[in-house]
Amino acid sequence: MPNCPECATEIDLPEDTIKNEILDCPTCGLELEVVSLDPVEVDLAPEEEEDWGE
Amino acid sequence: MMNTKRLLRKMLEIYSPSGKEEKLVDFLQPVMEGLGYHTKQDETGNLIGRIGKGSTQVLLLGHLDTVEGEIPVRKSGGNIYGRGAVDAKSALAAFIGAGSQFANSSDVEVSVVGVVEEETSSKGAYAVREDMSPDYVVVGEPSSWDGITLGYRGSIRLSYSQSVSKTHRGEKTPLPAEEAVSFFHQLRNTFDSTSSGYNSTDVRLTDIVTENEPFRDTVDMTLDIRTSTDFNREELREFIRNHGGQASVETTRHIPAVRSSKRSRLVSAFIGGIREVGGKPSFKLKTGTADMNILAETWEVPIIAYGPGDSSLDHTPDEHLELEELSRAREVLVVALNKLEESGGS
Repeated sequence: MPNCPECATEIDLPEDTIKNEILDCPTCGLELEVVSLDPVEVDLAPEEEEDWGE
Repeated sequence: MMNTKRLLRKMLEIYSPSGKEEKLVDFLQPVMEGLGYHTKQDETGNLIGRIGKGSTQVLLLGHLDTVEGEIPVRKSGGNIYGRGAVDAKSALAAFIGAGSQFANSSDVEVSVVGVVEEETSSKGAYAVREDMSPDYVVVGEPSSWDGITLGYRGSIRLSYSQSVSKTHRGEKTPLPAEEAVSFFHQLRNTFDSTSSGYNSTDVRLTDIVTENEPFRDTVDMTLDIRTSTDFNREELREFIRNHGGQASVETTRHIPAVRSSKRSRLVSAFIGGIREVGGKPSFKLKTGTADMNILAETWEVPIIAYGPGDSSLDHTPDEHLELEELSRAREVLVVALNKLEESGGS
């Protein structure tokens, strides 16, 4: 089971989790990305940026 | 078969400001047919191409029109210059190229739609949202090839008009122009956010015309309000009732802000696509407004905006695209569509 890179909480992933899925750490709320399924690994989710455009 | 870079160049050479998209449609329709799309033009003028068969319906919606201001098409270094190079013929070209890879799919149907008048009335997008019901939607706007746009601010246009007979005005009575300016400042003080960016609301005075005739004073003012996701339209109505005075105040083209969830197969497919093509994905929240707002208002399905290019070049005389971005965006789209195809829409 992977651990949150921020608070080390073990992340219990549902069976239907897919690669590159975004989820929240249940303890610290940090947004994480499932970067690998075999073995299961999570990392920080992509960052948000603000931008002009229409 | 025309490659995507050549397709984009041809598309740029056909100048197509809003309302004058027909020649671009005349060019694109046979090109798309040649790539395997089944095409038609709807009553609004939108070009609709469908390819592949399957229960998963993916809509790639770009716009045919550009803002006014023709830019001679030229290549320089690795860049191509032209009106629409960024906003957003490049996204539409990438959509057409990527979708063509799914002609033989039995799991996914890809619809590539070029809509009219995105830069003005959005009437193309309004027509599409009545006629289609996709499972996933990608709107063609520049996010850069490794960016995924999740949100745009909303937009309200406010028109303020007042015409007053001089015979009924006392010496100290404010002039209509003064009342209009005062209304603008009060509106701004009430609704403008102290911060800036996606989570803020901005009130801008875009146009004001005054006429001082022998017997009447008249003012016509237009405001552009960019709204955050928590903007309360009822509060604006109340403000107008309380501060509009004798003026005629109307709001038109109310488009709510949009913010898509990151927790969808669509977003995961694009994150995976960008990583497989060698990029580091990022999420974009835009301070402008686009057709994504209009579609998301009706469709409760995963929706993002995606396309190559630097959006700071939108609407500028220097509009250009690094052609390598076009190739990468096309690759990302193919990988993302493959992932949605594999998931079977579940």
